[in-house]
Amino acid sequence: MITQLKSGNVYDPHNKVFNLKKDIFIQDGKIINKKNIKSKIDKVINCMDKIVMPGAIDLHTHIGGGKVNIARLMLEEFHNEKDPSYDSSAIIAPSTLKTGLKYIEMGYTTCFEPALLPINARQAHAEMADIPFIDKGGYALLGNDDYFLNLLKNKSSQSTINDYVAFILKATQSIGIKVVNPGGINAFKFNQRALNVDEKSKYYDITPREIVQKLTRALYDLGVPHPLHVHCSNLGIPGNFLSTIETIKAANGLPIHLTHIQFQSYGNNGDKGFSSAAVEISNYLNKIDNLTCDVGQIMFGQTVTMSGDSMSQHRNHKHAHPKKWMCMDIECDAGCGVVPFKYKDKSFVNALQWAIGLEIFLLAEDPWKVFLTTDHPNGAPFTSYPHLIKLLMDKTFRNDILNQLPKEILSHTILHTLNREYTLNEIAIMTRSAPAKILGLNKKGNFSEGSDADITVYDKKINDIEEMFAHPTLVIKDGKIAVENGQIKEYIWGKTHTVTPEYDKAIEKDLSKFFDKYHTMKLENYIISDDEMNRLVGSPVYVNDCLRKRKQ
Amino acid sequence: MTSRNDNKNLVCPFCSLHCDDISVTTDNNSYKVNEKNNVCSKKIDSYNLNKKSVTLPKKGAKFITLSDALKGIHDLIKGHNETLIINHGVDLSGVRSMLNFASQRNCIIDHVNSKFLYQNIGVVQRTGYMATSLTETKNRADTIIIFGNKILDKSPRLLDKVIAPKNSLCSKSKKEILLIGDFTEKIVKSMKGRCNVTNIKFDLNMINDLLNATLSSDLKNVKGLSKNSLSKIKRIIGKSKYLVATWTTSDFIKTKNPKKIISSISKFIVNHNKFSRAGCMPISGVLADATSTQALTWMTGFPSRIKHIEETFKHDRNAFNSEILLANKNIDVVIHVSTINAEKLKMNKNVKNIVLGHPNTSFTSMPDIFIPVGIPGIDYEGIMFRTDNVVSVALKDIRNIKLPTTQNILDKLA
Amino acid sequence: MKPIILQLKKKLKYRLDMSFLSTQFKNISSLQSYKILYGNKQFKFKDFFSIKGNDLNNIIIKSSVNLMDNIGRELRGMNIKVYGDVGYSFGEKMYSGKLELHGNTLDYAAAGIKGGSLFVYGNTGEYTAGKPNSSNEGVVDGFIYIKGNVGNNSIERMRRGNVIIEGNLGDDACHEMLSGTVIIKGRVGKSFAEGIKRGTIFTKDKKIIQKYNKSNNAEFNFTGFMFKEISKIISKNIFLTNKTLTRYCGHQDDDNLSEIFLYK
Repeated sequence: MITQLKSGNVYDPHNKVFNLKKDIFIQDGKIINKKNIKSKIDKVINCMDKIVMPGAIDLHTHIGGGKVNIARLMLEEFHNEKDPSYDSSAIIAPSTLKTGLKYIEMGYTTCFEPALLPINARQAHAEMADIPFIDKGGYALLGNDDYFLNLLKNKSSQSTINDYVAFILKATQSIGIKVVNPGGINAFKFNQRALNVDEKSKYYDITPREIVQKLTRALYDLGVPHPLHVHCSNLGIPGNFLSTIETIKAANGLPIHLTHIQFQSYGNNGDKGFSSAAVEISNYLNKIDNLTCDVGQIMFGQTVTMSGDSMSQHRNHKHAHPKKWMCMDIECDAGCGVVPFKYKDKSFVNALQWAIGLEIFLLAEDPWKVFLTTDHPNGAPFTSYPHLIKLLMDKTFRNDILNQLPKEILSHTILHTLNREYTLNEIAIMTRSAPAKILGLNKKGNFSEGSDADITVYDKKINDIEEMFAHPTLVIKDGKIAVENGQIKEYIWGKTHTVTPEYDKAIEKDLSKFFDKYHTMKLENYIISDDEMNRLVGSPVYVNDCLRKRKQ
Repeated sequence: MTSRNDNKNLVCPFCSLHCDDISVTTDNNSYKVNEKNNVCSKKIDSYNLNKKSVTLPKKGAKFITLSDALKGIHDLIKGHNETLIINHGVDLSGVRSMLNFASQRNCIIDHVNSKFLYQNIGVVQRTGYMATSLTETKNRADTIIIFGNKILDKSPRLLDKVIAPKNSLCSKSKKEILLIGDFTEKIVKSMKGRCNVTNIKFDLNMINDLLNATLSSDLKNVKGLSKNSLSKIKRIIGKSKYLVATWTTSDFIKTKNPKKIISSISKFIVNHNKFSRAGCMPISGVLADATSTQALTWMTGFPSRIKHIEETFKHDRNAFNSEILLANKNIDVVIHVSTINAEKLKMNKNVKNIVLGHPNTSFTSMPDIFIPVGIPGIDYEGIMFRTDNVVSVALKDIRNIKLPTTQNILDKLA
Repeated sequence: MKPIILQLKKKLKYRLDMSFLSTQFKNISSLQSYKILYGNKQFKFKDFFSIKGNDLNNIIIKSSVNLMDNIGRELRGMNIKVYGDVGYSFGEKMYSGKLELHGNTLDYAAAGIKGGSLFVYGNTGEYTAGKPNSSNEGVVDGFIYIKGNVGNNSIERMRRGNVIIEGNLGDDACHEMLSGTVIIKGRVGKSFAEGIKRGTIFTKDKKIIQKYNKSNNAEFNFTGFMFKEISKIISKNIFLTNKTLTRYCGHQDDDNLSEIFLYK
């Protein structure tokens, strides 16, 4: 069966196609070149006056795993969207079904859960398997687990660490590695309440810098496409831009991805001891080649913050709104914290946070290095992406909102002086091709022959850019029509993306001993096989290629 | 396929600890736990087929074919107006298919242990809460306070796995164990030598007063507690670097206000974290409570007591309370799903009872239709969640008696 | 405009969620054809109730039974009068308007109300005027009058508002009260007002005053006005007068700033 999307305005940044009138052909769920079509075209969809882009990719969204489920349980009252006391657009801890529906309706076809605790991986994958439509994947959390810290403490070789990292990717069916507050979550378990980049943890005597160094090196050596995904030390603390810069330096020029960098770009100037350091951070971002980031923009309204960073979440629990929260230490692996929060436009701090996020977007010279996220649901629910796109593309709209915010922030931000407006080309890059590239998803985010036919079609005639991005007229997933004119046509079930660099099996022997001694389960039951993913968890695995063969 | 005299590891589905270090000898359709000393071996072995086991579907006292049984269930549901599914323990695939079935037939779903869940849930849904998990407790905790009386009867291996483990990563000396409640001498004895036990006989209703008294700088009067005991408790708590409070809610259910007890423990732990580290670790029920709670929460947003209405699941913890619904005769048909329950299953009068249960299930009276189904972890592979809600285990199959799974049946009915 | 009168047409066997009554219907026919799930089947509202009248802001339910849950839940600005018993969560989280019940309720009546007034001329179940599920706030504001007895665990974490109970109050009532006024005519159950922070309680039950100090005798001007106002709202004279009051405050526990008016 061959489908033709006829005469759309195509955006395919990977192939340097921008706003070109072109036809797209689909056969068996894949993109096919016109010249290779052998049989007749079964279906023609007229895309005149439509914008055609690859399906959008969200590389950082908390959609599955223990902490998300804690939030769902905790915030029972928010599942009733009809309750008028809550913002009805807010879906802050949606069920798996709702997550899938809202994403596909917005034209998102691939999403990544960034905080997959290795010990909790089976649950996270099982949850994500129940999210319809989208393809998904996860980044395994390392850097706070006692096994890894013992490796560092015992001065194990980089090669052993590489083996461990590769083992974790395989055992937890992940596509990347994330480190959250390097060493800090572990230090919190020993009652340390803060840990700076060069501060040694009391128990293991290890600095966050060492952890970042070893892990960035490991991923580079293994040829894993996605660089280390870093949630830096001192999240949310005024003046933390210094630790962010130190973390960047810790990578020693190797690839590194800083996540929700908005929360990491705070200065401590001014009467209130809180200011924007977006300029300083952006300078680094624009200067250093191997550095990428996603923003983690905040939006005003009710949401819930969920993070593996139990240290900072425990510190923030006093700000909970509504007044309930939970933190947990987990299995010598990591931790988690869930704190509901309401960003208020009357608040100086929240308003400045909003401005800082936008500053980073607007100061970034290269859209291939900055990704559009709200760190769902930490900054805002993912349903606010269309609104965020409008803020970036429409200066007047942006300044109208800025003018309603507390006047004091104007002396701490340069947002009002930034005249840049994002183009559709740039939006297409930062929501499609760039995330596909940084994750090593060769078959996503482009219209090359053989790529997955995940396609979003927007109506060019809709004047309001927010409305256009919120309601694509057509969303195709794996060549099948998922949404047409706002109606769900067919339930489609996606797959889980992983990457599996090679490793020396000797690491499993040592780990097995460690598990028998200190864990409460056996290593063999910790490992998730491809077969288990398919049959029991309920999501088939797709293994992506590494960049190159392992180095060390 | 298993064959004669295979040694295999069982991942135990029968309690919320889900131990995976139990070696069994299998013999095609039977198995035996190898370790004699294992405190659970008798229970696990009791799920072997015996003379009373039923491996074919029954309608009343009569054996029928599976397709007749399915047709019988189909007719019962079609001919009546309100169907209730009660979960007495099943793996993830069972919960998933239960939900799928309920969404097509507008059924109510409740777990038989929901009443315990709703005592615990308030601390998460209403206040601050600090939690911890089994491995964390094993390796980090130097002090554990255990409230209640039956926790170790319910989950016996908590003792050698967590409370008095052979190895611990960070807490090298024996753990300080504070027993508060009404623990038998036998339990205290079983712990002696393996950890430093302090047994405080105390009225559970007064826990709030006791915990409050530990916070004040002077020795307050607490009814039913000597000053000596109080100062000892204060000393132990004061010394601790990582404190864990554990309980099982069913121990509190006979007290005047279980919610209050749980919230005062939680408050105490939250407060302790202002200057030291501590966490709560409640032990959930043995009927796959955590599996049901977790799976329903991610699929619907609600942990239990849901009904499918207008294309979505609605939750009402009062109106969909199975006990009250049955007592008030608001239900026509009940489907009991019970794959790991060892106790006699209570059949309800005035309703049609359908049971999807393991072959050894016994009943207070014969159900209208009984379909024997496999046991997850014994007859088929599956996934279940451990008590701490963060670890899930992959169950294996160790025998081969060719029973359908709960999922098979419910998917056919949907 | 005549109030809408709803009469139940058949005997109920299954629970019926009535929360939709609090939504503003555009016209009578949208109410008539409103789809409700009863058991596992869908019906139209008019299959269950006969509907008379035309004022969608004034609804009278005749022959209600205690299988009807969530009547007046999250009510805004409407008046609903009910004859007969009701089920769970009568008026739970209501914002404004008026609810009147000539019958008894099950649990969670008036839980977490945020405004409006609610009258029950019968008995209520447990968690009356308490915390609704998944929230740590009790009554935030509003006026509650209950003629009969009130079940256990009631009036927990009340923040503002008035509760008047003519019958007896169950055990564990008024825990962690933050403020507000509670007037009880009947007996008070065990462990009353534990962890109370502020608030005013009128009772004749002496056991509560043991840990309080007696205030100096004084003329309490405001109470007279209050009783007058309350009498107006409940359309009869309240059982209290200024002359019989003794005020207690200054609890032994420093955190407890509540005051008790003991009356004879």
